[in-house]
Amino acid sequence: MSRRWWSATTLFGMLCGTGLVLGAAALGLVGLDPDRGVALAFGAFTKLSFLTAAAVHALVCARRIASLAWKLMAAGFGGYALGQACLTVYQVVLHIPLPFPSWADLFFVSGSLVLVVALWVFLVELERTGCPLDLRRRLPTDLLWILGLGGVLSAWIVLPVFEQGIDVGTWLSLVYPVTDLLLLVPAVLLYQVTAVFRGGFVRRVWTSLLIGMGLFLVGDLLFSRLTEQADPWLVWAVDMSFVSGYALVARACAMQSDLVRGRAVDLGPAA
Amino acid sequence: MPVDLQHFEDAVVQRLGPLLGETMARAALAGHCRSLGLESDILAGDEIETVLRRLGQGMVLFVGAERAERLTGQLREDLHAGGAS
Repeated sequence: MSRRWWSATTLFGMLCGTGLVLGAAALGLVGLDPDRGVALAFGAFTKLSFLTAAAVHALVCARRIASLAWKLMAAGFGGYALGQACLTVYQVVLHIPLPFPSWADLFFVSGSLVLVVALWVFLVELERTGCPLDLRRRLPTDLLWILGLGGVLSAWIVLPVFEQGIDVGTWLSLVYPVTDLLLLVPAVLLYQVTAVFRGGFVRRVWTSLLIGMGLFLVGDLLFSRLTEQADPWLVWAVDMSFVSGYALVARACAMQSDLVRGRAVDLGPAA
Repeated sequence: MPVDLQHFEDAVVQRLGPLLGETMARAALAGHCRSLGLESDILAGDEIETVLRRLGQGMVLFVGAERAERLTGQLREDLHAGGAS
């Protein structure tokens, strides 16, 4: 069995297992409502373990690479993990309805904004490597279609929310899709840029990371519709978007961490 | 020791291809040669060192300084093993 196989893939499986074990442990220790508690605990702890893993692996990358982008990435995912920890305490431990806004919102929103900056910094750092990326040519086109997408999404989400009245909650429910859209601009640019790394390990890392972040957007958009209609399928879709998004970013950070620790790609013996 | 550019490219693709992909490995080498104004098919020893240093600096973002240094060391050994073949 090659080192390349076990490093990222096994870790990914262990993360999934950790969520399940912690969820099961919470059931035994806290004693949850059997109708709703099982799915809630599994979901909460799975998300928490993925986000914690993403933050820790991003931190490993930051220490080894000395890159500001990876430091910010670690801080951003750390913010997400703290936000999810708050949600877990409210939902699974205290059994109280989620306050809105709450500490969780503060951590999630600040984490998102830090991730936006992280991706822009990474683009700058990528350009400094000397790799021919053609960033300046791509930027105007990408900005145009993201703004167009933003307009369509605004019509779908923003207008109905404002029809219900304007309060702190209204503004906050809009902050999530807006920060996701801000995240989408550098994410799409990075996705295009990393296309030239096709066939390389770097491309696999960034594909996983950026699809994961795309799923954050899907989850937040669906969540913003959730306040209007409590269709169980919509609730399931929101959860699946977040769980799979967090899983993909955790996988990406684990792969990059493997790479910098020499456990991913066989680059030959030491000189 | 002078080295044939094609041999240099082959070595870079072999070492960096699994990491960056074959296309980017070639493009990175071509980009550095272009920015340094290196147009000859044969590169002199100091020119090779400059290109290797630049490639290594670029690799730091992906694999960290320590492994980037090892990578350039391996590339240097590959080139010395092949020479101006």
